[in-house]
Amino acid sequence: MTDAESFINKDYAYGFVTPVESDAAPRGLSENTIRFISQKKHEPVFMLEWRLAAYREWLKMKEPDWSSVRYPKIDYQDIIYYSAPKQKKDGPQSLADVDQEILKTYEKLGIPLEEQKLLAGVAVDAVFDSVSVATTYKAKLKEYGIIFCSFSEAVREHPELVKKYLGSVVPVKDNFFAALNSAVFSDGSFCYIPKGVRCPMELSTYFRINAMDTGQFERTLIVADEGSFVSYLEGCTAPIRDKNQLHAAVVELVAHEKASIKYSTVQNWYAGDREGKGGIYNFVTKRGLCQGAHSKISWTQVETGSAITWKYPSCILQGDHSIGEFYSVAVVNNHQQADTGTKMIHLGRHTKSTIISKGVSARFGKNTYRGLVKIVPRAEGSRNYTQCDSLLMGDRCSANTFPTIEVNNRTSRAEHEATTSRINEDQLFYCRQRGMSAENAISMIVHGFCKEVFKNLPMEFAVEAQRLMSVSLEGSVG
Amino acid sequence: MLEIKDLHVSVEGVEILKGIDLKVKAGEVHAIMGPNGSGKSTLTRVLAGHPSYVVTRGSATFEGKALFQMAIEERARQGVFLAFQYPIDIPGVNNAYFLKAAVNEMRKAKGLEELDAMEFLEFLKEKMKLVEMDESFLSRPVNEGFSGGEKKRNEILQLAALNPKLAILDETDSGLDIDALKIVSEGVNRLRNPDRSFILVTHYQRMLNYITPDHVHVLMGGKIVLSGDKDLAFKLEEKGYEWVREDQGPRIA
Amino acid sequence: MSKDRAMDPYLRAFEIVKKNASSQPVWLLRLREEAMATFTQKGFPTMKDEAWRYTDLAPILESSFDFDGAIPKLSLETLEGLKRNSGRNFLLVVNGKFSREHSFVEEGVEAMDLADAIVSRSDLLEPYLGRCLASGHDAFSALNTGLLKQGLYIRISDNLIVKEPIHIVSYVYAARARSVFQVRNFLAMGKKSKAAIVETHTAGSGESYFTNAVMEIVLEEGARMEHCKIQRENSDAFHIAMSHVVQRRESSFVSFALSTGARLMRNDCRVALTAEGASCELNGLYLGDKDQVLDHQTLVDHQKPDGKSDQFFKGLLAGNSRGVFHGQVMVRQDAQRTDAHQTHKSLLLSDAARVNAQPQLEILADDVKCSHGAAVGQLQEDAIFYLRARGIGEKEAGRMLAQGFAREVIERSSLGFMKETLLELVNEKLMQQLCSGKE
Repeated sequence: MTDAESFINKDYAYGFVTPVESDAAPRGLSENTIRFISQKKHEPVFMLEWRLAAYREWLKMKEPDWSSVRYPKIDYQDIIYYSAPKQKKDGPQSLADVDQEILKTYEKLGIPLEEQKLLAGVAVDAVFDSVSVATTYKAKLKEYGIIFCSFSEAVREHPELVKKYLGSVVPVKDNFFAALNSAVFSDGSFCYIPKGVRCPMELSTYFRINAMDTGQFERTLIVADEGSFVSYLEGCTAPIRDKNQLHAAVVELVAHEKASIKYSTVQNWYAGDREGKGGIYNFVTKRGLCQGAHSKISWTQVETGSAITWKYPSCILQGDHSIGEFYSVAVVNNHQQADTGTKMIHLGRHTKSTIISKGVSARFGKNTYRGLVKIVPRAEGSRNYTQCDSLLMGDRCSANTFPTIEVNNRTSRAEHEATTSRINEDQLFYCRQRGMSAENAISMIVHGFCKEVFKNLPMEFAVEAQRLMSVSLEGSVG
Repeated sequence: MLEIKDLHVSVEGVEILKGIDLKVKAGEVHAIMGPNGSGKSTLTRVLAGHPSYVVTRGSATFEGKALFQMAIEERARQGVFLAFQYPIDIPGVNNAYFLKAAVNEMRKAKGLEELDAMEFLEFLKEKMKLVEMDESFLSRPVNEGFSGGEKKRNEILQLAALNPKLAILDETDSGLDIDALKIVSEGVNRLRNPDRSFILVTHYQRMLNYITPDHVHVLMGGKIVLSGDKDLAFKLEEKGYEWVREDQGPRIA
Repeated sequence: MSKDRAMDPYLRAFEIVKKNASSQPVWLLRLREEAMATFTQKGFPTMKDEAWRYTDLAPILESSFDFDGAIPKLSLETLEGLKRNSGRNFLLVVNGKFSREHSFVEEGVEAMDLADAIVSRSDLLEPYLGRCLASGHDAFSALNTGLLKQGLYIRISDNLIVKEPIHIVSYVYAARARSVFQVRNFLAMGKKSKAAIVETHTAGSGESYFTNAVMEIVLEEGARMEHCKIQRENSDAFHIAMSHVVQRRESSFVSFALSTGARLMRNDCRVALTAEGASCELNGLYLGDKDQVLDHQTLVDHQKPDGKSDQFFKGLLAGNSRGVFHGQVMVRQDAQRTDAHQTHKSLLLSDAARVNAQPQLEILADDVKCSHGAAVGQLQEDAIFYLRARGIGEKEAGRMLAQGFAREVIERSSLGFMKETLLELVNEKLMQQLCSGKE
């Protein structure tokens, strides 16, 4: 791989810090911290109780010990669980109330929040540290009956919906990090698409960690009522810091009969430096419930950032004829570790799932695909197709593929195929013979390798994802 | 334009080329012929810089510059083009994207403005007529699912688009039916000009029915054993390589 | 019965072994002690152990098994049956004990009771016995080593080409219910030697029993071994088997495991390619019906460059049977230019049959070509329809298609000499499967 030795290492472009004064909870976690958060957010009593119950469950749980992921112990008392930019009033009512520094930050990140500047057809909820600072196009969406707002607002304005769905897909006790999130989550996005409505624009949330030593614990809940459709995208970045920061989010999706949710993620949290110092621990629980017949949930993720990624966006295919999809690109460079994959739980009859996973490992990167396809006896006539491919660059990186297939009835089929190989020297030679630099040639070949996943991203973000991937692979060899 | 002196090349410790001398002037067309395993493909690939080949002795200069000092893409940008015998497919990368990237690299190297998507399409359409390619080619992944003939036409299209000074064609005629051979050959003929040289590597003489070479060389056992004009190709076709072997026996051994 | 109490009879048996230790080499006693320490520490696995997630050992652990010392006298008829197809090389093991009087081998093949070899071949055995795989003992193989009493020792000397296949028949007749038999085979193949081994596990109609088998194979430089294991224990039997294969430079190991018997089987085959250019091919075919659990585990550990491995397993499951396949390919950082492939395919023939597949790739080198594939499906309805439209009965159509499915793995394997025998056994079992499997 001397071909690629000329790669240069570019800096993480999103690594700046915004100078805003913040209003933070004291370091550490106790029932008081939770009361503090709940009070800050003016939450109704039910929410506080829910959080406290989760906290008590969390205390009983043990941090998991994962076979393929290594990281030093996290001190949960050394994290700041709530940090919000100081505000004049109780929360910004319009963009005019948002701190200019924050608006500038989003502009710098390529996400201007003034509606006229926005990409047409994309509504954004901007989450800065622990709070949502702005949600665009709210009024327009309201005309369709669509609720798209910060989670805090949803708790106050739509408690009946929150009560009904919160924790219904990812129960509090699901896992250590989900329990922690349930206790301390600070904000996130909430979205409800009423019956029969096709959401006229892309909805998106942009997460930004800014403050030092804070954990980010956001919560996203999307409910698509009968026959509705929504496409949702999340993006994430954080400043460069020497210390690892924890991000433990929970995302729940509910699709009712004939509803369809498309959820895309472009994850570019700070990944740490070339020596593996710093970076975000991205421990996320994402799960979708295809509750109604003929419902569909499709996850697409491009994971280029974070020091460690641990997430398995999954689908519970409860409704008959429901469909689950998972398209993933995970790129690890330097000392990054990614342990990602999906679970497709086929409960309903004639349910169908597709899994396409592409892993790219460079330098010391460690990439693991872990998946479960489970077809229960009742789920007659179900189908799964899985394709996992790994590309290796350099002899110190690794790629693991750990699928589990459980088929419990004889009318269902599951198929899994996986390959692992290194980047093809002949393809490199061909591209370079046509005048491309080794760097561009690799980038082009890797794009080709990931194409099946990129094509599932909304147009505007596919370009962004490709660009990100090139950046994250820079300096990959040498 | 190109001058090769006493070139020795090994692959995995086995010497394949055992002292090649060759001089190609601007505008000339050289045909290199030889039986299978004589080292023809090795010669083309080593000129392009394939990493599997090790130059153990000798040199090559291209327009006065040391060719073997240059990286693969540097040679390409200086104007050395290799039409591959077996063009590799690159799944997921579409042809137009690939070609645009390549053309713009060449333009950058020459200090020209890069073409945007629209300009490029205009530029390419014209070149495509040359090899009678249809636009649907552009949206297909590079070489993936192409027939043998389509791959070779694609190579000539790239040749036309990249506008090199020296074009090396490695068995471009192999696997082509007569119609495809005509199309490819006519493409090459139209691309001939006083500033551009060609090296045609071939096993058979049939391509030379369409493209008339200025010089013909016979490569056997890693050496050029015989050189002549276009008539040599006919002689070879008639008498076979055995004839050279007998005639030149002592020199090859 | 608790897990700990299930261990008691084995721990007691070890006390007796220790008492009689004076006649054994010191290294062996040390090895036994290490193994029993491992066993005591690990205990019997439960379904909470990742490696035993799908195989419930409760039936083995729910009451204790006894070591049945009695060696039955075989009738002439039984003996002839066991010898069938054996040719010039026949090694008989009855209830775990090598039967010298009924065994014979061609010239050059050294075969003896492992207990004798421990004395006479002590220096050769010491570095290998119980130490063939870096991953060490699991509870069952530890038990086998700790309580090792007898078994079979085979050595093929350097450059020897063994002309005919060596048939090793392990025959069990349990006079009392819940007897446990330990089978232990040690095979060493010298440099550039070549042999084919056919290992058959079978039983007379006796009571229920538990076979705990361990086999260690060492292939020196350039050695080539073909190995066929036929597991047709009786339908009340528990069969837990562990094979460790250590391969040196340029050696080749080709195996085929046909599993049709036992109520619960776990067949664990671990191959370590410890030097350059070693290659292995593992094939397997399992056919289950009734309440059978047939569990195959493989681990191919590529430690050095230029290794090749190919695994191909298929399963046919009828009745309430369950198939488990866990196949692991490990490519270590040193093992550049490795070529490793694995395929597992299974068909479910009844509503209650189940299968769990876990193909695993762990790749730490970059210049590799690795792939795995797993598929679970059923007989194609279109194909059945097509056959029926040509006048073939439904059951026969099913049988034909199932046989075709099974045949692929037999045809594909490099063990040509076993083809007919394997096909015959498969057909026999298929008839049972399709009759019992009317759900």
